[in-house]
Amino acid sequence: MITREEIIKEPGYWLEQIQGEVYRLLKGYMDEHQLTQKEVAAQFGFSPSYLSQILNGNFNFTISKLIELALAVGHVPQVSFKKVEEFLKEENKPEQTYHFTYEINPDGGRLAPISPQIPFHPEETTVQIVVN
Amino acid sequence: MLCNDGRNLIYEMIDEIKREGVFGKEIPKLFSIVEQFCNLQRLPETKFKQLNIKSDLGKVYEAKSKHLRMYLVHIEKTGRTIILLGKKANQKKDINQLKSLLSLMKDQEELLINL
Repeated sequence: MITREEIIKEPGYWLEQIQGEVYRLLKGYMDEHQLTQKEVAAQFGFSPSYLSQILNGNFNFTISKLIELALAVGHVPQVSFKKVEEFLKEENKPEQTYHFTYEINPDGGRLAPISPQIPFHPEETTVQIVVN
Repeated sequence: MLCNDGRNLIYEMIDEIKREGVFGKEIPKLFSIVEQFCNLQRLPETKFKQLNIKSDLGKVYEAKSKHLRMYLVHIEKTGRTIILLGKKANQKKDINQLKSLLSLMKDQEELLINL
């Protein structure tokens, strides 16, 4: 058996997460600009093998290279750290479900809340709308 | 988790790999890959791909690390996913076993849906 704590304490877990992010960053840029691997290599002066490692999800170069790549595709890198206990605590936080009742205003088609007001923090809340 | 006669097969395999001590560090990598897929994040085919296995039960996926493979069967209409773990060296054998498992499960589909 393996626990969640064991998993997140293994460097390989985080390496995969970051490699995935770097892959999506470059792949997203290529899709957005409809560029081939060859064109990207020419545009940024990257070697084909470097590019292929990124696109295979195997980026494991220096921090300077990571920053260089992010900036090249028009992004700024942001790094944050969290204590293991905090990370696990946040993951285990039970989801809270609120039920809102809305009625549709027939004139403007706007939604008007008719349920009791409850605290709502848009930056922390995921809203799922179910239309009956 | 897939259980057979009360035995949790994936935990048994994880324990076996950890005991052997060679590829144990690759297990969290596989969980990391699968987690990204579950969060609808795109991944390179070298890490995660849909296998060309035809099954009426649902799609079959493979997550890859250097020496290990994790197989996921997403059972349609049930919200269930069966996870299996194997070594790259036994890939062919594991995929064949997976195919027989899928046909066995197909025979007992009704039972599976009502679990």
